Amino acid sequence: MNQTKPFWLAPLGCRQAFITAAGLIGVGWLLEMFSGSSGIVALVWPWNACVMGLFSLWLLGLAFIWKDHALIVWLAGVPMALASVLALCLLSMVAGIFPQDGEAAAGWLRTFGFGHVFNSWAFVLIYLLLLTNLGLAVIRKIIFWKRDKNAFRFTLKHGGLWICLAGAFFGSGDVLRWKMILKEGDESSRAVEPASGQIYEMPFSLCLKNFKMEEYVPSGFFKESAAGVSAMRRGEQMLEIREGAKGHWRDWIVRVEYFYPHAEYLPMGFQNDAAPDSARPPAAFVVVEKKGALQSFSGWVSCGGGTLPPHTLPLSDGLEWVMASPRPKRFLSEVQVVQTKGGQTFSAGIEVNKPLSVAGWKLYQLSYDEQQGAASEYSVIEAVRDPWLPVVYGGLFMLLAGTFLFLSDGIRSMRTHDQQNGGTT
Amino acid sequence: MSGWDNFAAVVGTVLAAWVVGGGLLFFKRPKLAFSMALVGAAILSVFIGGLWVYLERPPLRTLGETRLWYAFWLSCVGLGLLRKWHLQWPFYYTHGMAAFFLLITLIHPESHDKTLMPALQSPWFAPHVVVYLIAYAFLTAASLAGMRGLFKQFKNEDETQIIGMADDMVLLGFSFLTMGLLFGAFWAKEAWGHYWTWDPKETWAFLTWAAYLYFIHFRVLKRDSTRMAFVFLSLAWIVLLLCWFGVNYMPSANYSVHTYTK
Repeated sequence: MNQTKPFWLAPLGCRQAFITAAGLIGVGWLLEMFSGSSGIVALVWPWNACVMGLFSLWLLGLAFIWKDHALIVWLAGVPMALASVLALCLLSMVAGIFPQDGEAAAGWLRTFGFGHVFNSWAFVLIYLLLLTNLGLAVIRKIIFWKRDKNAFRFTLKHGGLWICLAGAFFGSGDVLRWKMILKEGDESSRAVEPASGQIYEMPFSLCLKNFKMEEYVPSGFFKESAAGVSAMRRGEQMLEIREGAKGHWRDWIVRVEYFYPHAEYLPMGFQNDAAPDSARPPAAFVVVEKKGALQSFSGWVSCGGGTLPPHTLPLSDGLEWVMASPRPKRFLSEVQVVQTKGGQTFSAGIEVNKPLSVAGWKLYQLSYDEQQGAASEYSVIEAVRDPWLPVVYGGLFMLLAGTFLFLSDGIRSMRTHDQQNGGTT
Repeated sequence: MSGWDNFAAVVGTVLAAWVVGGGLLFFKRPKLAFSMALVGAAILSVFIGGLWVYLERPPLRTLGETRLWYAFWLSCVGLGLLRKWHLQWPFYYTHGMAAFFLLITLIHPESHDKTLMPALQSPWFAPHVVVYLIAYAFLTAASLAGMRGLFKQFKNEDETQIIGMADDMVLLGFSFLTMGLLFGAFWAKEAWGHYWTWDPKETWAFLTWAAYLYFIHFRVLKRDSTRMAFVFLSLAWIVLLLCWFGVNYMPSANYSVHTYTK
């Protein structure tokens, strides 16, 4: 019986697969300890493409030359899939619990690479084990092709996942994420690599014509003056400050008489700044009354910003009414782009969720002068280049297509699939 | 409808419809039970729609808002199983769970407002979260099946039908989970510059996906180990919950840009 044999003599199965994965994690931890616990540096072009090519050839060679060898069948099999997925889960779980701040991690967390799991030796070895398993499974499916929908779906899903995982893994060293700090009115073609601080020349220049920030209307709330914290409990609603807005909170009634979206503070009081690009903070004149009390409180409130200090309205019972800083609605950098090659010039906007593509780069709205808010005189743009993206997306679309295919024709056969030995996967 | 003002009344009506539906099912009137519970789900969907109009954004930003969708989809899964596969017990389980999540939302009200940070203003926002919640509903049904399966085994009763249903629920849920994960990746590329950055929330999303991936392959290999499968399903649900809102309470949470507003 298999159970009585030691695992190295028994037919290859689950036990050996789990021992292999555990062993690889152990080897990974040892390598981590002996290499100074700083993880692995990703390969860059063209070495990453060469290694990926060799790795693929190695898999193809294994699958074609030893088609029926027990070791290859085992490496491509479900037990190995289970072992590598479980090992990847355990390592990811470590990363999901402990902060991944690399160098900052101290003590044993750092020794075993727990502070930088995703470029630790253990993770990379297990990832390669998964790629081997998945790759061999797909190649073997194609070698022993059976003309049916299940085989097609299997190849789409597993092949897509392999392409996506391999592309993301081997291509990670070629991903560039640089920052361009643009001052209003200045033209710049320089980008800085955040980790090293090295400066690069981009194949285009950007001139920031204007940085725009739109905000939602502010909200107001009751605050305990002495403690400096909100007096309102979770679930109690703040009042949206608009002209004529009315709100209740416990015994209090609040009425907004005037609301200036952009206010300036002059000796005679608050004035509305009607300039279309005004970056001044909002202010409101409010009347607050307590039910049953004769006295009412009224005055200007503002969250403050720029040169305007915050204004609050003191009330009785140790309370005050306060305007919270408005939440951002839109960040937009209006830029003029000049391409070095060809000299084409055009104007464009870069905003969150709407990146701009220029000369193989994607430009993202990243940051601005948070102290100044809408009056920020600079904008930080992130320039991203990922030449492997088409590979990864190719894989993702295959996986998605396999999933859609399953949903469209797999469900119909669902109630019978338990007789087909898991055919729907 | 005006936002959350009528929520208590809505929850009351929906729960009443589901309880009556449950009663009708108990007294062998499945068609009437189906209609009654459908009315409850429809009221919930109208409330969610009203909230969408009132908030002027998809009501998917806060945990409480996502719980409403989860309750709705759970009810749909229970109704689907009753209608298509004539399974009665999931009706009680899914509606019980849905009611529980509605009550949590009622007991723990949230501060809500119309704001939507720029990163969330994306055409991917609604599809990504909605598809995820559909997946959660299917996978919850699978986990409930796991718990019932364990109970049946404990009582030495036949559980063949339950494991079949659990498999189907996992396959459906996993398909939606895959879609949600991929939609999230496409969205992240447009919003943050990269499709995957191993942010804590992404890591837990991967873990949830990988856990069910493991289950599917486990079932291919060990068709007969139903007890292990039931135990696994019950545990996988914990990973799912950790991903949904447990991440908020972990040491790594401060490093995440994707956690739901509490």
